Amino acid sequence: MKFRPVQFVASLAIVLACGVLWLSSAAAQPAPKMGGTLRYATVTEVASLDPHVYVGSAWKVLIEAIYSPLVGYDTKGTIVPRIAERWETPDAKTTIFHLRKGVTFHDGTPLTAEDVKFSLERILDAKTGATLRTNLAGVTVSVTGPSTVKVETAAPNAALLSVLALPEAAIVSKKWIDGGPNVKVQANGTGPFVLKAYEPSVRAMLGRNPNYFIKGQPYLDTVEFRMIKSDDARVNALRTNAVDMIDFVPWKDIDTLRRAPNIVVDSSGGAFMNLWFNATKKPYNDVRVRQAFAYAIDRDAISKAAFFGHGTPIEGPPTASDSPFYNKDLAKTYKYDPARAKALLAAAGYPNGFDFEFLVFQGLGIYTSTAQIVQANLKDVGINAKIQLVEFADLLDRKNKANYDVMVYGVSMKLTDPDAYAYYLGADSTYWAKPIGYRDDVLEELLSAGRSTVDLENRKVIYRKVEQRVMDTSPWVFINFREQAQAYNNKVRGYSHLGGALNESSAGISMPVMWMQ
Amino acid sequence: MTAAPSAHATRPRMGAGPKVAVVYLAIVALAAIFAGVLSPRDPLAINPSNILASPGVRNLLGTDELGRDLLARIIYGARVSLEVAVSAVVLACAIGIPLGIGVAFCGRRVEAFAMRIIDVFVSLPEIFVAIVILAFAGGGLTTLIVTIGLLFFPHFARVAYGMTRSIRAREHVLSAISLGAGTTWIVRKEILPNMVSVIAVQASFTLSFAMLMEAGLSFLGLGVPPPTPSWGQMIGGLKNYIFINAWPVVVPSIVLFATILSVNVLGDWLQDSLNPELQR
Amino acid sequence: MLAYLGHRLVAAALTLTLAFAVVFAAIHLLPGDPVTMLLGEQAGADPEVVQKMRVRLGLDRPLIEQFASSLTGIATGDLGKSLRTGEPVFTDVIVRLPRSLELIAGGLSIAVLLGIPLGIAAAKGRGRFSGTAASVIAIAGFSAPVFVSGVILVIVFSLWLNLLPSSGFVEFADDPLMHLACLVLPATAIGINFMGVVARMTRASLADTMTKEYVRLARAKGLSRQAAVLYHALPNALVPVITIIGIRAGSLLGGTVIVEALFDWPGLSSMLVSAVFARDYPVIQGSLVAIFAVFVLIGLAIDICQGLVDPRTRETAA
Repeated sequence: MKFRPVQFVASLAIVLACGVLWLSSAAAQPAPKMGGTLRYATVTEVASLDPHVYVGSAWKVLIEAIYSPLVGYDTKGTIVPRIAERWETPDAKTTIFHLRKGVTFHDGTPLTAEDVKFSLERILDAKTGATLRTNLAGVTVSVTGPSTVKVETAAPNAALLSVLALPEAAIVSKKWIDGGPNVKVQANGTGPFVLKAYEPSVRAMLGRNPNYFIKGQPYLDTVEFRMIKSDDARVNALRTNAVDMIDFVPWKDIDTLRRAPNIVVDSSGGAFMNLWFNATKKPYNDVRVRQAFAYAIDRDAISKAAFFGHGTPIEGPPTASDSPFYNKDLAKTYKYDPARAKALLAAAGYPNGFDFEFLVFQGLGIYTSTAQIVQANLKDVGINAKIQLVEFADLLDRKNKANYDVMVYGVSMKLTDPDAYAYYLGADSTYWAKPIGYRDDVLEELLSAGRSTVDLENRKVIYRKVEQRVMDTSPWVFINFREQAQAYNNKVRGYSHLGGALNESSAGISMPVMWMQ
Repeated sequence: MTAAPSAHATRPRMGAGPKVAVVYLAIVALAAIFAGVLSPRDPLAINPSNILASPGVRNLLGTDELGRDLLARIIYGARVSLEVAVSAVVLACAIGIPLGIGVAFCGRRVEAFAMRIIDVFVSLPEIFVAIVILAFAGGGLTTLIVTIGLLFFPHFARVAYGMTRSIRAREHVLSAISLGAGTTWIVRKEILPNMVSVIAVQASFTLSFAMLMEAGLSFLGLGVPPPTPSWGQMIGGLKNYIFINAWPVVVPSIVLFATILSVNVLGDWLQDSLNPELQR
Repeated sequence: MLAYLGHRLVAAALTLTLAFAVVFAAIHLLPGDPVTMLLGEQAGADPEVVQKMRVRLGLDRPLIEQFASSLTGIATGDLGKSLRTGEPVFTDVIVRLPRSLELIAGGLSIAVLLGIPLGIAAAKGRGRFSGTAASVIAIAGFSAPVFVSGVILVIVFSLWLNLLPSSGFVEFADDPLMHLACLVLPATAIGINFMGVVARMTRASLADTMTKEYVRLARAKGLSRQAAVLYHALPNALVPVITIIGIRAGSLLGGTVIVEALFDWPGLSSMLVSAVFARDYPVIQGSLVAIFAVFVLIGLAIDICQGLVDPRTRETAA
């Protein structure tokens, strides 16, 4: 055969190219290894494992690992089946869930439709103190077959699925709960991991559930939770390889940890800092006063000093730029403008400013730093803020009794659905508005329309109006996004860091598909 | 070869130690009083682009986590430390001394009861009491002073009580009483003057305890509210950033230490020179 | 002797009860509500839910009733159940108390190991450089607030020398070496502070005993200065030192609050502080009772020792 250089080189190139492609793809997606232990240090000292009462971010991860709701999120943030394998909505107020067959609780009891009904009703029962009680108000659940459940809402509710996908909507075993266990320290779920050991506020040990309904998962054998409240101790534990992964990386350490050779830091906005007004009390019931505050704040300074650069200023509504509901034109509504703030104050009747008590949570450095910067900014426009440091118990108490002027509050995003605005600002929400009796009829109408509309494009229009209204009335002053970061060593694989409302649960969502290389 | 050791070795008038202590404390007091004039910058001026800087030309002692000048904050911090400590001690004396004297003049029963109450107070570890009171009353300068004052009045009450009893039992006082001397006269002429030196020593040590307590509470975040600088609060805040820059926290630490040390050295000297017969 | 002991026990019990009453009143007057804390931001503001939870936790009963049941509980060893976890406070206390005691024991050991020699040096070298130097070191010891020495220790040993962990805790059973490594810095911080006290006590006491008759007698008998100090003066000098150490040791319990916060050591004090923040009344009460009890027991032990050693105190106790 005659030697043909061109063809030879071409074939060689193709073979080589295939080889490189194959090698790189193998390197880029190493096959998950079964087994191994993940040691995860968290900032929240989880004191209760009741799956319906939210206690903190680490709690969410634990509950996500031990229990399963009807539906859940995947590592890309899409709603996917969990206990329910499919569902349909015959009309705007009804959803019918078809449950998987063969799901068992960790104690061996098979899951039935009765358990689903029981769980949702437990959430609705005032005695439980469940976090999602108001979100699911007016919902009725009926069992329509051995593995079908019908959920009906009082009014059309486009946000229902996103609520049912939260770990706080976990399905529990009626038989087990009726037996009267201390739900705060024992667990019996259908999740990928089983609770092996638990010392409240100190540690928890999870083991693989061999009967998990998604075959092949989880990859990990054990997950060891260590609750380390002290920021330095937690970061140190990662640095010295005492743990493999930590949550809530302190903002001052994000950059230094990134520089460490074998540590990965994933960070994205997950919560946002605000000023809350007692908006039914003088002078905060005057829109101009609230807007003056919004213009007076130097958000860049706060991001730089309090968050070490890891806190993107929010000058518009608090919607992430990659959300379908993001409105670019509203994003720069409240740029830093002390002159305008002064003018607004004068127009409202306070040309020389005024004094007020500024309620600040003392437990976290970012609160006191942010508050001091806000205090300095306000002083420049004539407003004298007197900082009152309080513990969290006191803060909640005063918020619920409407006994405050202005406070700094960090809001962790609750829902992926923009119906979250109803939770934040809705008149019936006990979160902020109800204790002070705030009611904006225009906003209420828009919110209820948004919730009951199902078509995405229509919803976008409605929620744009919502955001415009929020900007106009400025019931809160949005300050900045707080990046929430998780850090881990490079042996940890399979983790997907999600932003926004799913940030807190990211570890829980990824846990079944995480492994140790 | 030794000379026979004397239990009453007289101390030199004022050693090098106490002299340095006096000078240092005078500087601190001056800083507290003339803070406005002495401070190079505004202690509240925030500078987000220059946080946690080491000592340098722009900021002689560096900056804190919000970019505020540390030298300025330390000077103003002197004000808080001295104000709280001195006020608290004055309060403790004002409550404790009359109480101690009064109880000593009452009957046995009242004495036993009052001593029991004081025991209760003393048996509660101080910092817990402070934490609970402050959680109750909220932070702030006045609350802090009242809390610390309440914590330390038993010391003075006990001393006053003990001294009153022993003075009352002295020969010439007993004879004065038998001659018809009234209580007020005895208190004014015999008890108070004889107590002064002991009280002074007790006060100096209580001063350092009070400063320690204020610093400790501020360290825990229960002291004066921001942005008012307090040395304890500065240490508590800056310690979180040790791994970014350790220098900022070292400065207020040294200053606090030196101040308390000086008070203790002076207290020692006071005790040795006023009460040569009393050994600690 | 028995009467003396009995009397002291009754006095201690009375003090404890009074103290408990004060504590109970104070914490129930605190603003802030454990139920709101438990239920979180949303459910906590819903009055219906809050009320149901209060009933469940027994918080709706009149205060007198709650006080009485707490008191009887304590007398029988039942410290109630934590509002947050529902678990018995007694178990939590049993787990956490030894950790705080460990810090105190560690601190005391360092204080005694460093303080007594320092005090001896100060007493022996009175008027000379060695004595002054030792005195200065002693004063410096108790002038540095525990958190200042703690921070400096962290900077030197964790940051610069990278020898010891800056904070944290592992169970002794899990990793004895690491457990001890985590213990060193906090115990040293407490120890340095107390070392000053011990040193000063020792110096004062020794200086006093050295002038006593029996020491001069020993010298007259031909004993060297060294021997006289060691065998005659020191043991007698140490008695009041030990007494003071015992009395002050109780107050060390207060010092552990700051150290546990600084070094993230999960002892009784940090449990107390976090319970105060969460208004978890049973845990607050239970921890304080435990702390008082330790405090009072130490005082009692000292009293008994004194009563044994010095018969005069027994008689004068009214």
